[in-house]
Amino acid sequence: MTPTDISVTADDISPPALSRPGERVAVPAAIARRRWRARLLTVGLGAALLVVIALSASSGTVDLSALDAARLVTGHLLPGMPWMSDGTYTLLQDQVVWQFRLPRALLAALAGAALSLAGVFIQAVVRNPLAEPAIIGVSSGAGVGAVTVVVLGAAAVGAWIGAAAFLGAAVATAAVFWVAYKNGSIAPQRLVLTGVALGTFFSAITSYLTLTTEAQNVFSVMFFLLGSVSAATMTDLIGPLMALMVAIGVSLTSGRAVNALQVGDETATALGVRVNRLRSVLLLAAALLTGTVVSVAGGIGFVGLVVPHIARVLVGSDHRRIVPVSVAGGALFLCGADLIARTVSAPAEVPLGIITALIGVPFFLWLMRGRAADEQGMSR
Amino acid sequence: MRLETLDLTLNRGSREVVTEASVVVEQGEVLGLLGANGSGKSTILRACFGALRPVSGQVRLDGADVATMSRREVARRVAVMAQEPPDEFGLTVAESVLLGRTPHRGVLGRDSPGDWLVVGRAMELAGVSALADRPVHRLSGGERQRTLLARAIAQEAELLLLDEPTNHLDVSYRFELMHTVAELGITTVVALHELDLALAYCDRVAVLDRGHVVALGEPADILTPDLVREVFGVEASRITDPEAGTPHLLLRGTSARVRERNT
Repeated sequence: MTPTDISVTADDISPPALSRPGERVAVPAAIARRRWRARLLTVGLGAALLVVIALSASSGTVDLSALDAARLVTGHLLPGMPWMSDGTYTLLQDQVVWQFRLPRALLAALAGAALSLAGVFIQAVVRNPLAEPAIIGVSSGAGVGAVTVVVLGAAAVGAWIGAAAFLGAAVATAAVFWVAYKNGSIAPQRLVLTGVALGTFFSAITSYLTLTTEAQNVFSVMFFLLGSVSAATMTDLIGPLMALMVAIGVSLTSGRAVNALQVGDETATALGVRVNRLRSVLLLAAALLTGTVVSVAGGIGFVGLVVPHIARVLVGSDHRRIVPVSVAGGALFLCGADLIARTVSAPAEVPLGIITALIGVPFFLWLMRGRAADEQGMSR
Repeated sequence: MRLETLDLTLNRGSREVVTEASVVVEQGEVLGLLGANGSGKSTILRACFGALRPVSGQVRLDGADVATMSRREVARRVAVMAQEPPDEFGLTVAESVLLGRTPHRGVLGRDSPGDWLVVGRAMELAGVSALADRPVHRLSGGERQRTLLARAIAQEAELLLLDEPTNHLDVSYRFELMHTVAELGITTVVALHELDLALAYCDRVAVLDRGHVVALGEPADILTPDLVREVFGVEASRITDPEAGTPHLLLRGTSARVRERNT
């Protein structure tokens, strides 16, 4: 490459002439392309999610079409729908859709969206591609809380497990912050090591409690640790939904700053980002997302690790594109996986984690070997 | 912008690395910060954009103390091109340059046409327009440095801080980069290793020796064989380019003092 002769004056770089008439501002082609891809993907994934939720609400031992399910749901949301009162549907059909299948499908979607967003945040905070929500020890903390309740014999009250799990998650978050915070900053390296170490500590407590409890409790423990949305109720949705809304708010207001954080603390600081504050906010948001999901659905793994990576391969590294694609993609992925998990060998149910792994892993590996992944630096 | 450091004393951890450094950089001037490794060049630069709080003394931007300004206020006025470009996996050159717009964010952090206008100009000035859609991690060292320079330009700051921008660059890129910087007309402080580049492109130089400013003035007056021997431990001769008439330093090797110290 030959050195180009650059000769300019200070005038050339004076403030942007926003009002200069007729000047066309071209967004570089690669970015414009990825932006469109992100928009189309978000809309497409959202539409697919609605279809999967409708399918989910109609699939099972009580026979119903997707249209019937959609009509029942509409009837609950809007007053005065004729089919709700004229005997078109039996009470059983109504209950199975509104009280069992729909909450379950929605919880799966919410959990997928929330865990994926938590993964996006954590990967940004620690700048490490292996990071996932579990790496900050929050899930393990929730595990201790839930298992303690089971072992104490209070598991009969379902809400107790959730409350204890959330408490455990909060304690774990506080502990990770407390240990990782030093000299006025949360260093990524220290954070990861703190999270992994505390996670191991909490898992040890969980294992001890599990081994020493009566055999009949072990199933409840495993059910929680493996993660499941099968016992979902409408009230279970409140926590994750609120956390998701808060977290989306955070990502909307901090997109550019998060992008800057990707390239290093020093650079981000020089670009006007308050690095420690941003990191704390993202961490708390991730902990809130993970904690609220774990407390109602247990430890669902893998989604938070892999969905952000898939989004990155598909639409590039800009957080303002990664977030919507991850949220929509995570929701679709987990909701679809749950539908398969409960229909593939019905009436038996395959644990959700097995399906996410069996479908997600091959897809991810295939993407990772592609050219787009190389451009995201995965070939190093 | 006019930059002043007033009796600046700076610590790294608990170790004092800069002692009462006072330097004034006038509007539009290019000041070279010279000194051996560990003499405090980078540390002074970090204090100039508020990333490091002084133990005592002040950094003033047009008379205002940096310590009283918010992160974003500083970033709108001071752009930094740091040493060792971090690993920017996945970003394209245009995206990387766009990061320079971070302190100017508008509603919900969206990119305005104005942002793209500035990014386009900055890429032109730094000579990376043709690379706009290339991933940064695929670039050569020189292209990467030019991308970082474009980002600093896109920040539209009034003060540019460059920390050894010519490290690891081919000879031609070194000249090209310094030429671009000098032509920008922005007040600039650049930490440099190559004394010859300082002679060619800096209006004035400040020489640091173990945290103390030991010389300050026009490079041709300051960079004498005596000073080079004292501060850098290298024997040198001053020569004049027979064709261009410009001053140069001919470095002959380590001085007797340094050889003695090493035995």
